[in-house]
Amino acid sequence: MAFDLKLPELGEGVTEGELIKWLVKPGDTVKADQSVAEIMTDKATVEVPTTRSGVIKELKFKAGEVIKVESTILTLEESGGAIKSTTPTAPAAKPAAAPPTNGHAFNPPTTTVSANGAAGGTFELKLPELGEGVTEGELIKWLVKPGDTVKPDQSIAEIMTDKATVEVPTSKGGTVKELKFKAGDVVKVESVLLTLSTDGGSTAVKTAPASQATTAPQKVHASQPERSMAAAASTTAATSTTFYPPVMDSKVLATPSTRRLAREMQIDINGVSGTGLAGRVTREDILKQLDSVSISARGPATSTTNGSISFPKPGYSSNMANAEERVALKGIRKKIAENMQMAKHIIPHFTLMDEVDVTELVAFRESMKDVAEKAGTKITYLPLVMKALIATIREFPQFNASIDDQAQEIVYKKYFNLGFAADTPNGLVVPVIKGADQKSVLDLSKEILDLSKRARDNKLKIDEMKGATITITNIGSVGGTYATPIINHPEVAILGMYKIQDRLELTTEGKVISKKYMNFTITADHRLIDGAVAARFLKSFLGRIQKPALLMLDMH
Amino acid sequence: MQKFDVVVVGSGPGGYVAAIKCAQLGLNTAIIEKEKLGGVCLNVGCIPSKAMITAAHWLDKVEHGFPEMGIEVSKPKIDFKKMVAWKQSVCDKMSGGVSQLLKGNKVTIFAGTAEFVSSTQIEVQSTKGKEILETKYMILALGSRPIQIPGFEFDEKNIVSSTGALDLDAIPKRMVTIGGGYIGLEISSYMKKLGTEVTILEAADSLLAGVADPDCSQVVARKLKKSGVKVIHQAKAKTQKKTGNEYEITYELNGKMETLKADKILVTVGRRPNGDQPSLKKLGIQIDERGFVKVDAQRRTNVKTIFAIGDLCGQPMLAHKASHEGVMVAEIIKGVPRVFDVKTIPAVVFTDPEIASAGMLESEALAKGYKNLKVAKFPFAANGRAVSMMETDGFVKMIAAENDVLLGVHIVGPEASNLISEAVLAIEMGARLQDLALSIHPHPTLGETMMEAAEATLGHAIHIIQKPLHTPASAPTAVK
Repeated sequence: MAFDLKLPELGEGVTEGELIKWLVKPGDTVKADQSVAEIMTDKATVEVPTTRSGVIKELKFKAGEVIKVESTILTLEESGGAIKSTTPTAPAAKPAAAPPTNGHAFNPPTTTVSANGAAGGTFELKLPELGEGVTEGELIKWLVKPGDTVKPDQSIAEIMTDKATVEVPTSKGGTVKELKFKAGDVVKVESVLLTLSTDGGSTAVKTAPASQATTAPQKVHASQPERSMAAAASTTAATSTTFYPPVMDSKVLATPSTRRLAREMQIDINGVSGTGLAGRVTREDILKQLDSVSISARGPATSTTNGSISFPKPGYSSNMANAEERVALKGIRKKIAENMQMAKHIIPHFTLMDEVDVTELVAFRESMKDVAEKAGTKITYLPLVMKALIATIREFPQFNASIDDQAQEIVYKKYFNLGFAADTPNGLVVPVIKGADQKSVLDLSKEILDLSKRARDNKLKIDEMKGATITITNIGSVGGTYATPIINHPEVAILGMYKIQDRLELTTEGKVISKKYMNFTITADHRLIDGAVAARFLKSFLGRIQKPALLMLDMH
Repeated sequence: MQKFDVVVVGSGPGGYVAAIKCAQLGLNTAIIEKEKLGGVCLNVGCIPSKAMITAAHWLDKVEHGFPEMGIEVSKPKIDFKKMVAWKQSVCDKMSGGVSQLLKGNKVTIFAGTAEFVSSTQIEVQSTKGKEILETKYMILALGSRPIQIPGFEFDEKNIVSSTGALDLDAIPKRMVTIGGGYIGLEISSYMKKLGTEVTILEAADSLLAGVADPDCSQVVARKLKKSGVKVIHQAKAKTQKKTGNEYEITYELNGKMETLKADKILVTVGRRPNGDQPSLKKLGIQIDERGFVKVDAQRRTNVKTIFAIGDLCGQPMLAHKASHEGVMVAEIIKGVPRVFDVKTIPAVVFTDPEIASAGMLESEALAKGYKNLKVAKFPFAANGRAVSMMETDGFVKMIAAENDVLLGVHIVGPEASNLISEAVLAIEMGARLQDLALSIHPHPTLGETMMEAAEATLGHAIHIIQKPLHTPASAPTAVK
C-alpha cells in the first residue's frame, strides 16, 4: 500500500522549512521513526522521521527546495495495512497551543457577588479603574476621615495618575471605618481604599455584582471611551476589556477592513503612521507591524510581545553589483538578525569589564581532571563559571529577570536556566541548561558537551534553545580581550568570559611569580540594573572566581 | 429552566440582528419580544411611515405632477382604510420575515415580557406562564419610546405619538404637530399631502436644528411652507382643551399665549430610552439619568457579560446603528476583538425632499480643528435625471479637508436616502474628492450629482458655472 509522508509541524509559527538533504533514496527500506530528511527552519535544523515502515518509492522535493508544512515529501510502499496518510508528530517540538488572543474566550467570567454587599455590613470601596492603561495612582489626600458620614457619589480621595488627578467618589453611603492607605502611598487599581459601615437598606445593597465598587471617577481624558469601572467582583483576567480607542474621534485614515485587521492584530491603528495617499494607513502598513510583532512572538517562550515596533528596511544597491553576491537572508541567520535587532532596539545596554586572578581556579580545574575522566567527561571552565554565576544571581535577583513591557512589570525568576552561546557552522546558537542550579558540576559538564556537539551538528531541539534566564558567552575560547555582547532578550544580562593570560607579578617580597588572569564582562539592561549594582555584582562574582573554594559556601 | 449562551431582550433592528448573528456563530441563542417581532422600526416606526410617505408621494404626483406631464386623470380618491391596510401588510411582511429568519437560524423565540432576575437569569412572562431562562451572556436591546409632555398625555386616538399617527382610522382635517424634529416633519409632510391642514409648533428657530445641515433643512422648510404647512417657531405648547371633537391648543410665543384649533395633536418631541424598566436594576448595570445604559466602545456594560445596543445605549437612536452594534456584540461574545469603530453613522430624513447626511457638518469639522475647509454644492436642478423626474429641489453639499479628504456629505433632494451610501463608503475608505470625481458615474442618474459635487468642491464642476478657485500660476517667461 502506498503511504504519503507529510511534513509535520515543525514548531510554533513555523510554516515551512528548507530541505537540506535527503537521508534516504528511492528503493531504501525504512523503519518507522527512522529519519528521512533534514529540514532547516527559522529556528533549527530538524530531522524528519517517517511514521511508517516500507520501501521508499518517490522523493517529492530536491535539496534546497522550501517545503510547506503538510506537503507530501515522499511516498513509500508499505508492506501492509490500509492506505492512509497521516501526519507524524513533530520531531522537535509539539505544536504549541494557539496563542491567546486579546479577545474574550467564550467562557463568561465568574461575576461573583462580593460578600461585602450584605445589608448593613461593611463595604469595601475599591479604587476603580482610572483610565485606559492606568493601573495605579498616588494618593494625594483623603477628603474624609474615619467617623465621617458619607453619601453615595461623595468624593473621598484625590488620586494622581500619570494622566491626571482625579477625585474618587464612593458608590455607597455610610460611616467611614478605616482608611487603608496614607497620603503619598501608591494604590493599585482594585485595592481596597477604605471601609464603610453601611447603614442597613438591604434593597440598595443587594443590587448584585459589580455595582458596589463601580464608582465613576472624574473624566480623566475626554476622548477616552467609557470603560467598565472596577467592577468589584468580576475577574478581569478572564474578560480583559482593554481595547484601542475607536477611530471616530481620531483623524486616522484607514479603510474599515484595515481597521478591523489592526484590531485583530491588537495594533492601535491610531498610532501607526500611514504610508498611503494623504497619510492613509494601508493594509501593508498594518502587516508590517505584524512582522515586528512576530519577531518577539516567535522568540523564546518567556518573551513578551510588544505590538508596535517597526524597523526601517532600507535597501542596498551599488554599482558594483557584478562583483557582489546576493544570498537570501533566511533560516538561522534571519532569526539571529531579527533577535539582535529587537534586543538592541528594546534594551539600553551597558557593559562593565574587569579582570580577575584565576590562578586558583586553573589549579582547581586541573585537580579535578582525573575525577572527571573517571566519570567519562571533561571539565571546562564553563560549568565552574556557571556555578559562580548562579551563586551571584541568587544574591542579585534582578539579573535573573525579565521586563514585561506590555504589563509594565518586572518578572523575577526563581529558576536558573543558563544559556551559553555556541559558535556553530550555521551561526550563533544558544543552547539552554535548564535548572542549572540543581545540577552538579559533572552533570553540567556532560550536558554542555552534549548540547555543544548537537548544536554544531544542527541537532538541537527547539526546546533546548528556549527559556534561558541569563546567558554566558565564552568568546574567550576563540580570542579577544573584551567584547560588548548583546543581551538575549527578554533576558536582562549576559556574562562574557575571555581568554586566560599568563602574567608575571612582583610580590611584596620582591619575588617574580607567574599568575593567571582572565577577563569578564557583565552586560546589563540599564532599565532594570543600575551601574553601581552591576559593579557590585561583578565584584561579588569575581570574588567567587578568584577563590573557587568560596563556591563551597553556596552549596546546599 | 432553559439554558442559553446568549439571551437577547428586544427584537428590533438591534436585537433580532444580534440574535441571528449569535446563532450563526454557533451560540445557543434566545430572543424575548413582548410585542411584535421587529420592534418599533418594523411595526410602528421606519417601515410603516415609509409606506405612508410613498402613498402620499404618488398622490401628490398625480395631483401636481401629472397635468404638467400631459397625463390627465380625474381627481384621485383616497380609500384611507385600504391605504392603512396596505401599510399594515407591508409591516406584517417584514415582521414575518424576521420570524422566519430567527427560526431558520434556530433562535428560540419567547413571546412575553422579560423580568430581569440577576445577571444570568431572566424570567419570561407570557400567556403560557412564567419561565426562567439561564444565560451566560445577555444583550439588551430594549429600544426607546416617544417622550410624553405634561398636558398632552397620549391616548393614541386624538393625542398621538408617531405610533398613533401611523394608525389613524381617518384623515384628520386639522392636525397640530408639537416638535419639528425628523419624525414630526415626516408625518406632517405626508399628512399634508393626504389633505390635512398641518401646523407645526417648534421651540427652536429652525427645523431639524442641530441635526441636519442648516442649508439642507432650509430647503425642506421652504417646500413645507410652499405646500401649505404652517410652521410656528419659538412656540412652546402649554395646554390643550377638548371641546366636542375639537382641541384648543394654547402655546406661548414671544411671551404671549396664543391658541389654535385642531382635531388631532401629534406630539413628536423626541424619544427616550427604555432604561427605566424597574427590574433592570437587578442586573447591577449602570444607567444614566436620561435612561441610557452606560456602555463602553464594545457596548459592554459594567457587568462584563451584559451588553446593551441600539437606542438603549445612546445617541444617535437609529436602526442601522443598532444593527451594526448587534453584529458587533455577537462577534465580541464569540471572542472577536471588535469595537464600535466607524467613521460615520449616516442619517436620513424622509421629508420632501429627503435629507441625508454622512460625516461632519461644517461646524463639526471646524470644531475638530480642520482649517481651510473646501465646501461646495451641486444643485439637482443641473442634473438631467432630476429634471426629468420633476424633482429639482435640493443639492449635494460636500465638505473636504485642505488635503481634499472628504469629511462630510449633506444631501437634500430626490433619493437623498439612497445616494448617501456612496458618501458613507467614501468617508469610511478615507476617499479624497478626486476619488469621487474620477470614478465614472452612469448617466443619466441622480448619482452623477455626487461626482459633480466632488468636482465642484475641487472648483471645476462641468454643469455649473464656477468661479475658478485658484488661478493657475502664469507660465514662467524665459529670462535673457
